[in-house]
Amino acid sequence: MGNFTDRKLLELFQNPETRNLAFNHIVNQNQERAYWHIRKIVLSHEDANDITQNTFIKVWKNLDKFKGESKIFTWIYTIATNEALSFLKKKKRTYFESLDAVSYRLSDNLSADNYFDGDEIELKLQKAILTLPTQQRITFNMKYFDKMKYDEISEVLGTSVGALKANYHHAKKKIEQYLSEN
Amino acid sequence: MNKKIDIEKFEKRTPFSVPENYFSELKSEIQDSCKTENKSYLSIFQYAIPFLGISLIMFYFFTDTGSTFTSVSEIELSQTDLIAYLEEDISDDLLYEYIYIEDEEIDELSEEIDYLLDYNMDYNLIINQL
Repeated sequence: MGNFTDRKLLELFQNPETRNLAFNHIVNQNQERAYWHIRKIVLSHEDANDITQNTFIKVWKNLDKFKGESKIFTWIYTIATNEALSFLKKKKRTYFESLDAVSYRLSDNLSADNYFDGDEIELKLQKAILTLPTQQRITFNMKYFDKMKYDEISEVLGTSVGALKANYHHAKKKIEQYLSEN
Repeated sequence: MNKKIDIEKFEKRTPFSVPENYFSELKSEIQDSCKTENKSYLSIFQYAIPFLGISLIMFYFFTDTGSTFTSVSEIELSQTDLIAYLEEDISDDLLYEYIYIEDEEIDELSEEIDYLLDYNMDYNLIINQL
């Protein structure tokens, strides 16, 4: 499958005959990145799998309305972030706890997860990340693990670059503090 | 004293794994989910269109039946029928069955009458109000 520009993919998607081809290409290009982004927010593989599928169903349903003002991958990241946050909010409602309390509980499940293959330091790092407020945690993951540029993160989260830099700085300090104390 | 840690020096690896061949299967799962989603849209139409059709027929039927009511002025009554009707013995109980007023309505009515009487309103006006 050749490489297409975003504009070409959107053109192909508008045409009913090439719609599936364009969508398959978009899934191929973005499914892994979207999955890992979601996985770092919800941690469990089963939940991340469901949310990734929901994300791409939304992409399928809304791509013809997407005007191409941002990159397709940034747009998918935004949908994935919103889907993952809605999932956490649903959990919060189910267990009557705050969003950050949900993160603490995720931290307890981490070491028992079959699909966690980190060493002791990586486990501690994940637990430290989970102590951050949800929005700060997402910013940290996108900058630290996904190596995204601030302006890309800004497009996804709709937050100013300045606020994101401050968020990342504070997150890093808190994590280093947690690791040195534990 | 706590040791100084710099996380920028860590290996920036995501410590999670996925089942074998997960991403190759995910693609077809996503495609299947999208197909099912399309079908579910179609199935909504499958039920919505007949429902809409039945609703339209019923609407047409009821409005059509409504137009067949004859206005009072069009009814022709012979004088004998009218006298026979007026001479019919109608018991009070039967009348009460026809004239049924809810308790709340009675309360509201008596409040309105009291209000009008308190302000020495003309009886004709009260009757008009009722």
